[in-house]
Amino acid sequence: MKLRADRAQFAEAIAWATRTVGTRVTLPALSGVLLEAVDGELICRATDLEVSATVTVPVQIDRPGKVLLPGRLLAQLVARFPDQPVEIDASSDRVEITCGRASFRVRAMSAEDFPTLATPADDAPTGTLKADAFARLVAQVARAASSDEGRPVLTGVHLDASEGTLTAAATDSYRLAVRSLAWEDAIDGSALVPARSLQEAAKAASEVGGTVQVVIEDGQVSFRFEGRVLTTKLIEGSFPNFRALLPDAHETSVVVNRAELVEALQRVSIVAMGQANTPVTLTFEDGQVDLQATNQETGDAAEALRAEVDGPGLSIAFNPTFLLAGLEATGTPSIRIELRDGLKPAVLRPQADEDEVTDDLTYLLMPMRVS
Amino acid sequence: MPAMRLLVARLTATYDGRLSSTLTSAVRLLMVKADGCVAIHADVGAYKPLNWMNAPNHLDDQGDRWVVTNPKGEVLTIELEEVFEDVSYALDTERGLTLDGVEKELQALLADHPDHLEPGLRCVQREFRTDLGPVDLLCRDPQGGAVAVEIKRIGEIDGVEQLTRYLERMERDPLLTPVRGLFAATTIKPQARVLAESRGIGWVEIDLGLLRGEEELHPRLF
Repeated sequence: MKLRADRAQFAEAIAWATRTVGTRVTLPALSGVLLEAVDGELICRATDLEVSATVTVPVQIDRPGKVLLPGRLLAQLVARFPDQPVEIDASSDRVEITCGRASFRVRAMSAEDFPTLATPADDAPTGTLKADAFARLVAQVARAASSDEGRPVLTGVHLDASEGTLTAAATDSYRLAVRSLAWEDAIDGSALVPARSLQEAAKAASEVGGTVQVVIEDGQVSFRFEGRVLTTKLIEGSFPNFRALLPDAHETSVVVNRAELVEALQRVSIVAMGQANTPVTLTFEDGQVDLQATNQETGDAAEALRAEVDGPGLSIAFNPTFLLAGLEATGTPSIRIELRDGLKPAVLRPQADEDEVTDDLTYLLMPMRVS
Repeated sequence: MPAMRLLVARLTATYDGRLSSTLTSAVRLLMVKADGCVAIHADVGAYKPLNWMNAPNHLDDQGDRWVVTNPKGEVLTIELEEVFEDVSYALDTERGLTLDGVEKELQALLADHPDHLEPGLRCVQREFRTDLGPVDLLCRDPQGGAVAVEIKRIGEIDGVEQLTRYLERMERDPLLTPVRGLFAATTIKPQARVLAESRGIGWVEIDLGLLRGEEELHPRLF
């Protein structure tokens, strides 16, 4: 195999493939990236048997062929290459990689040991979403997933495709984010996708743009972009019945400027953050919300904001990190907070005028007890 | 609502898949879990069924004959000769194993409340695998830097040595490097503190009572 590639394209391809697959290597061949030069294209493949990534970039091929190179080493090298074409010559088992005046000889790994990648079946039903809308949905929802491997189902994002809509939900048991999005081309099915894989798919959506094709199959889901495919195994187990957690009524509804609340919360949280998980208390009264945090070691902080409060006033305390994540996810200039009492979950939603279209996002947040 | 179904029955079973096996007629416990797993238990042994079929599978209940098949083509056939009990219960959503021992409890609590380790710290993964074994927590600090956390009940020199080895392996990973080390325990011996500091590893003593109280302070949705 001998080829010449654009450095930026090549570096981006290798970075995405190696990052997507992660670091959980169980077989030596899985630490490699399989490069295959054929028909004017370089196909880069990586897998850890859970997630598979395929990236295709246009290259100038002198001699087609394939070679398996150590993934992390290759990613490190190309990230630091000067901005000049990259040449790869795999005439022997010492593969020569040249960029400008830098040249490296890297020992190839046995390409025969590299597994066949999981790919979506050609005839599987395929849904289509706008890539930017998909990336936004993932950014809003996946942050609520848990990082606790001890509860695997909570480390996933539940995707439910039905009646022309994709509904994504994630929860770490303290908060729940749910968002729906209309398909361009709809499919039906459901999948519990590892949040990390979904976030890499979203990254690809942001980088590549256009549309993303989603294929939900038995045990796996695939995301196809222009020049990239990510296939990931699904998490086994039952996702909690999140719809049952969503309250069907509220006593008090508050509309507040999001940026002002974020800034006030960040300021007040500086005091709260000094001590582990110190809550920030929000008191809603006529026309205003008071934020307040007390830290026995550092001191107190308080700030008041204007707010439209509809219903009885009340106080409720939140983990400031979780509240900030919810405020960031909503995205609109104003947000609506729906409350029942100080110990029941609060709902955050984007707030818009009647003629405006907003994301169909619900962020449910469990309050903290204040001693 | 999916439920766990328990049958006490005299039954025979044959399994046909990677190998074949037969259970002759006897009274056994037959369990069908809400996620679809089917297991046949005898009155000996702690946790391992005599025969079982993981989900996803298809259970064809023909009355006194059950045929369970999975996508790999394996087939478990159960002949129910006499059923003594047949009950179904919807169990609570499983919150996962509460691992015994203070170390595991500390790990779980610190994963949920990484602020107790360092303000602003965010837990990325528990039991993060390295070539030399799993490090207890992989975290990111507010600047995005990777932090490897090793947790012990009593912090001694051995634990610092263990974390040093993990850090050396993790530093080789371009996606992680640079990695900071943080040694956490309910009590840390003076020698371990000195060794950690000499190696640029941070240490923190954890108040388990305060951490347990955090769970009370922060109720869950389910």
